[in-house]
Amino acid sequence: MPLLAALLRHESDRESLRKATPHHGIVWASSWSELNRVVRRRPVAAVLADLYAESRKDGVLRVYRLGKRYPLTPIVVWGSMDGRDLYRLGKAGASEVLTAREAEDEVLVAETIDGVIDGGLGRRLHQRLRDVIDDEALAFLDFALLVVPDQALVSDLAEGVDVSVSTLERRCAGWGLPSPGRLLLWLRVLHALRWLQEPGRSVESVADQIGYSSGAALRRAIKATLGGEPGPWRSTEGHERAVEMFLAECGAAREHDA
Amino acid sequence: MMARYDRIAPLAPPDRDHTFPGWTVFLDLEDDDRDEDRGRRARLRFLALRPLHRLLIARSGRAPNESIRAQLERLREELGHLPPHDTERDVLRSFISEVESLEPERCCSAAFRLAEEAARRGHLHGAEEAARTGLELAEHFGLPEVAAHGHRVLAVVLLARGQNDAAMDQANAAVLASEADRSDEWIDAVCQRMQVGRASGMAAVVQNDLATLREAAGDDSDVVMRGRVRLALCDEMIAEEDPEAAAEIAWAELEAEPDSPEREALLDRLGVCMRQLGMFQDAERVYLALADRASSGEVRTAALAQHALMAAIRGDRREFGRRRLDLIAPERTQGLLSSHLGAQIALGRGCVHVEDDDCARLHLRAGLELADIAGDAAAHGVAAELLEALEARKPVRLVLEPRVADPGATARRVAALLASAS
Repeated sequence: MPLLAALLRHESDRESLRKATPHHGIVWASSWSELNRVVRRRPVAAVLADLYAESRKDGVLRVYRLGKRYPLTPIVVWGSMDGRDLYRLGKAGASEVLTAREAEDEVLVAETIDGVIDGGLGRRLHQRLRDVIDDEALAFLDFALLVVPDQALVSDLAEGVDVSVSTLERRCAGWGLPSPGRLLLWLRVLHALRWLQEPGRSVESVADQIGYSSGAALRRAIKATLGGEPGPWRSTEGHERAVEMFLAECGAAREHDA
Repeated sequence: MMARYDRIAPLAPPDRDHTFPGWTVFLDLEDDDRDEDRGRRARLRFLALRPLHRLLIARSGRAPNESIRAQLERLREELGHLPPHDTERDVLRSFISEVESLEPERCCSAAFRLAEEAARRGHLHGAEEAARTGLELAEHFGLPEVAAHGHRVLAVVLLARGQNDAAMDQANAAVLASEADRSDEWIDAVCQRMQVGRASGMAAVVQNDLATLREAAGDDSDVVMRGRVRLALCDEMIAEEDPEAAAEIAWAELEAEPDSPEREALLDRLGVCMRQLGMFQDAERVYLALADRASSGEVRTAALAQHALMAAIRGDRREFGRRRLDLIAPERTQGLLSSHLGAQIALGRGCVHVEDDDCARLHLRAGLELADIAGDAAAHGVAAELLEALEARKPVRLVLEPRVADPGATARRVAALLASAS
């Protein structure tokens, strides 16, 4: 399930967030420093932070610094904000805001968080593959993308679609997708490369999040899937090329069967 | 204690596509992010536009209606942050009612009115964001005729910001979107394009549009539309500094259609023309005619104040004094003078003309206060400039009526006809 990191000082706000996001995991922080540590340790789908969580600290500046370290992680700022706060938050790079009164509206909170959670990778794959593989295959791919960040195994993929591993293997072949094991490898690598673009992340933390035993294991997986040293792949252009290689393998699998 | 250095201040602002929806209203704080009034207003506009953005992103037309209405109710509760008689408070109140309907056309129109109010206050980024949001909604819901209004408002804003090319693009889009109907919106769109053309030195555009309006002004098949077109043409002639041509157009319509729905507006323009030609006694006749058959106390008060001012300008101190006292008497204007911005400034100017400084200060200070409430930057400027001149004992040349042209045969003919009709 998508993970959120939250720094909300009032219990009422925390309760509001829990109610609005029943299908998200939440990791709580009690300070800006702790929030940074949480996000560095575990890549999250979004960060929610009370602007005035620590009264003696400039929350807007903290938002700016967090955004610099984790540019791909959306930040939703929460709480009582006047015009000047909102002005500064836009310049600081906040992805969205939820005023104190808005936070009472469960529907609005859910909508705001869903709106910022970046389905970038999934959306791109979906767009490119919708004319190549059928809807059932696309739905399975969406599911796989969702669970891979939670250290999913092949057995988890099979369980998710209510079939055995061997049946899943046959289905993947029929859909024109790589085998479940290969698909898992690809999606782990693509997720990892995306997270590694954020300056605040380490290979070790990303490896741990994806389900590798160590950073070295992740590096080996990147090398085995893409070839060459991992370094050049840790950029926007590198990630783009990796995505293209995965897409080619999906299309190539179909051509091979035909 | 020294202010702490703000590391956020020097950062470049994000553009509209790379920030949260509606944020660009806060660019009006770029010069002074500690201006509390601006910050308050920008925040309210931001909160107002948020429900509209939700309508835009709602999937398959399934907007969370109850949640949006609750959002508007919360906005209504925030209106208390603005002064009681503030015009923007009224605009926002009306905005909330319109958007609560969730009817696309009403939502778009509400956004455009919010844009116009922000523009009037000189908050051009807020105006642009509101106009663009309304336009996006109009396009999203397939409402081209509504989009025409949005394009026109955006043209006004972009022109005010000196982005003339972009303003012309919007003005062209407004004309294109409205010309099938040839309604009020089309007239306004053509006039707006002329304004942009004039500001950009595009004489050919202006002449072409003038020719279009003249042709429409000669069309007697729809007298109501003819009246509106002639009024627009009159305004354009005034803008072209040709008060004689404007007077001829206004009089032609007044003569042809004495009960025209545009009667009061045309008389008002005729008054302006006479003043610009230095024909102050004729201007007085116009204002008296306007006051005699005024449709409201407000129009009557405005006309009588100008009538009084004309006496001051032609040097008749006693008559000005008599007319001024007449206006001050509550039964004459139902007590409207105290809240009438235009009348206060007109009487203030009259008092300056006749060198009654104490009374001038009274009226001009009242005008300043009313201008602040209304957010009327132009009127505020006029009143402030006159007060400053008074305090500094500067020469009164500031208050002279500017003569734009000398009256020709046409103007004299109109004046004679006006005199015989009085």
